[in-house]
Amino acid sequence: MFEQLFLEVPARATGELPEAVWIAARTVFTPRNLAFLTFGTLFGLLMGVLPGLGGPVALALLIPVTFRLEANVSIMILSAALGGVAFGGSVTAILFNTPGDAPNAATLLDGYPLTRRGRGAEALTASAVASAAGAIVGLALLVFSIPLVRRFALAFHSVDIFWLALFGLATVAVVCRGGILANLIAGAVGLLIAFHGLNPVTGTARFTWGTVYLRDGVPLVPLIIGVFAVAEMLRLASEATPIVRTDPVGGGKLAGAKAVFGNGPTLVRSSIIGWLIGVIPGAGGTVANFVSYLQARATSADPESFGSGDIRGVIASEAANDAKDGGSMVPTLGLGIPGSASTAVLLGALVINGIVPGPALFRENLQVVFVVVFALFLSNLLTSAVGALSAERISKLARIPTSSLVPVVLAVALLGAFVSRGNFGDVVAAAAFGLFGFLLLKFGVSRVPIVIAFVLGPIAEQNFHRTLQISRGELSAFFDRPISLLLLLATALVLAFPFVAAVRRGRGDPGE
Amino acid sequence: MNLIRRFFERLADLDDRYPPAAFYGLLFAYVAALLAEAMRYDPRARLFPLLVGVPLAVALAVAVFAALVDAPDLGVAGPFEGLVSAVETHRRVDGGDTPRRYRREAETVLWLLAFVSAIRLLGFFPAIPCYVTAAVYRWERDVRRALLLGLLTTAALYVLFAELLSATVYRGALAGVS
Repeated sequence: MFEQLFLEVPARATGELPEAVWIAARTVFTPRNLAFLTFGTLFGLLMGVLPGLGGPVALALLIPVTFRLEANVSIMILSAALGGVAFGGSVTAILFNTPGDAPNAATLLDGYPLTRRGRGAEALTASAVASAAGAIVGLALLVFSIPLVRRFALAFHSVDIFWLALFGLATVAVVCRGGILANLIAGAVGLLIAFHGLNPVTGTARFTWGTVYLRDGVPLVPLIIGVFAVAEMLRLASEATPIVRTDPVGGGKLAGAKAVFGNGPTLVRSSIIGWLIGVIPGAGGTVANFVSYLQARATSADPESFGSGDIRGVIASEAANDAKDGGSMVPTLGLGIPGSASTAVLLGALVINGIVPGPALFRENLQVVFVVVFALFLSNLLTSAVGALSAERISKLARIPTSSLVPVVLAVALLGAFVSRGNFGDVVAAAAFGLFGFLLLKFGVSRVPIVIAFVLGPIAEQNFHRTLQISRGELSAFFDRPISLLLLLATALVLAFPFVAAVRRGRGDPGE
Repeated sequence: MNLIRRFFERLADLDDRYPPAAFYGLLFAYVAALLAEAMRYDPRARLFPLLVGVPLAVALAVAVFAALVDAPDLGVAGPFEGLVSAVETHRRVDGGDTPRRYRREAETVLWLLAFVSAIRLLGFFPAIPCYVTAAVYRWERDVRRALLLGLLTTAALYVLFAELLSATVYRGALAGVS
C-alpha cells in the first residue's frame, strides 16, 4: 500500500541550487509527505518526552520504517523527528526537573522553578515559541551558508576527502564524552567492524570467518539499532528508575508567548550562539544550551534572578538548542562530520539511503540539504504549536514506567532490524551490538565514535586507494595540495591537544 | 536462589578494576585474531586493517594496564600519566545496592536472549505478545496491563510493518522458515 504512495514523487538528485530547492519543495509539500512529516515530528516529540530515549533512539527506530521510502522522503521524516525531539526534552526539563535529552539540561535551571511557582504553562509556551524562533534563525543562517559550503566542497579531491575523513574521526574521538583513549579505541573498533566483508577496492572478502552472513559486511541498520536503541533499553531496564512526580502546571500561556517577543535581543543572540556552536563538530546541544544560558545571565541587568525562575533563562537555552540543529547540519551534511549522537545516526541514515555525506553531497545531492531545511522548519513550527497548546497532556507520557516502555521498544527495535533486509541474522546482530553497546555505556565509552568510524572508515579507505591509483602509487600525492596539508595539520592538532593539556595539568599540580 | 544471591554478592565484591579490564581484554583478544587473519590477505587488502589494528591493540593493552593498576594513584608523571589518566573515566561509579544491580543487569540480558530465541522459534508475531506480556508482568505484577500492552504492541506493529509497509516478517523455525 505504501509503495503506491511513493510513486508520486520521482527520485531526483542534483547539485544545482535552484533545482535542489525545487526538488526539495516538491518532496516536502505534498499532502502525503506532509502527513509523513507530521508522523515523524510527533514521534520525535514522543521520544523526547519519554524518559531515557531521545534523538539517537528515535532515529534508530525510524530508520527501518522509512527504509522503503524514497531517499529524500526518508531524510525528511528523520529530520522532522529531530525537530520534535528537541522540544520534547524541554517539557520534562520544565515540568519534572529532568531533561528529556542532554541538550535540554540548562532549561531546567529556570524552567522548573517557574513550574514550582505555578507558572509552568508560561514556561512551556515560552520554550515552545523560543524553540520555533531559534530554529528559524538557525535554518536561515544555514541557507545563507550553503553557497559558501558548496564552493568549499567543490574544491575537494579524493585525497582531500581521505584527510577529511581522518580529521572527522580524530575530532569526534576527542570531543565525545569519555576519556580520549577510550574514544579512540571506540573509533578504531568501529573502523575494524567496517572492514568486515567484501572490500570493493581490492575485491577481497575480509574477516568473514567462513560465514555467508558477513560476506556483505556488517550491516549498518542493526548496528545503529543495537548500539543505540537496544543498548539504551538494556541500561534503562537494569536501573530501578523512580516514577516521575508532577507539580501542577498552572496558567500563563499568553504571557509566555509575549515574554519571548519582549526579549528579542536575548532571543536573537542566543540563536546565533547556538548556530555557531552547532557548526563546531562534536560540540553538541549541551554546550550550546549552557553557553547561551550563561551569556543571557551575564548580559542581564539582574543576573541574580537567573536560577530562581527567570523566563529569559528558558528563552535563551531553548532558542540556542534549536538553532544549533541548523548549525550542526553544516559539518554533518557538508563535511560528513556529525555534531552529536543524533546527527551521527542521521549520517548513517544518509549512507543507508545511498547518499554519500560530505563534499560529494553538495555536488550531487544538494536537494537533501533543502529537504532537511524544510523538514526542520515545519517540524519546529508544528512541535511548538502542539507543545504550547497541549504540553500538560504530553507530559503525562513521561510517567510511563520503564518496565512497560522497554519491552515495547525492544520489540520495535528487533522487528525493525529484521525488515531492513529480511535476514534473521540482523536480529541476532542487533541484539549482539545491543549487548556490546550496553557494555560501552557501563564503562563510560562513547558509542558515537563507533558509528561515525563505521561510516567514515570505508570513505577514507576508498579515497586512499583512489588517490594512489590516480598518482600511480606516488605517496607524495597525499601531501601536495594545500587543503590536504591543512587537514593533516588540523588532525594532528586535534589529537595532540588533549595530551598536551593533560601534561600541562600534571606539571601544574606536582603534589597530586 | 541462595546460590544465585551468593554469586552476585561475590561479583559485587570483585575489585572495580576487573570488569573494565576484562572488557578491554576481550576486545584485545578479538583484535589480535583480526590481525592474525589480516596477515593472510594480499598487501592492499591488509593495509588499512593493519594501520588501524596495530595501534588499537597497543591502545587496548594500555587500557587493560590502566584499569588493572588503578592509574591515577600510580604517581606517574609526564606524558604517560596524561595518556593513562585518559582512560580513568571508563570506570562507572556504582550508586546503591550493587548485587541487586548486577542481578538486574543479568536478568535484563537473559530476557533479551530469551526474546531473540522466541523469535527464532516462533517468528515475530507469536513471540512479541509472549515477550511483552511476560516482561511487563515480571516487573509490574499486573496481568491485565501486561496482556493489554502485549496485544496492543503486536497489533500496532502488525498494522505498521505487515500491512502498511508490506514487509515480510519472519515466521520462525517451527514454521519451516530458515
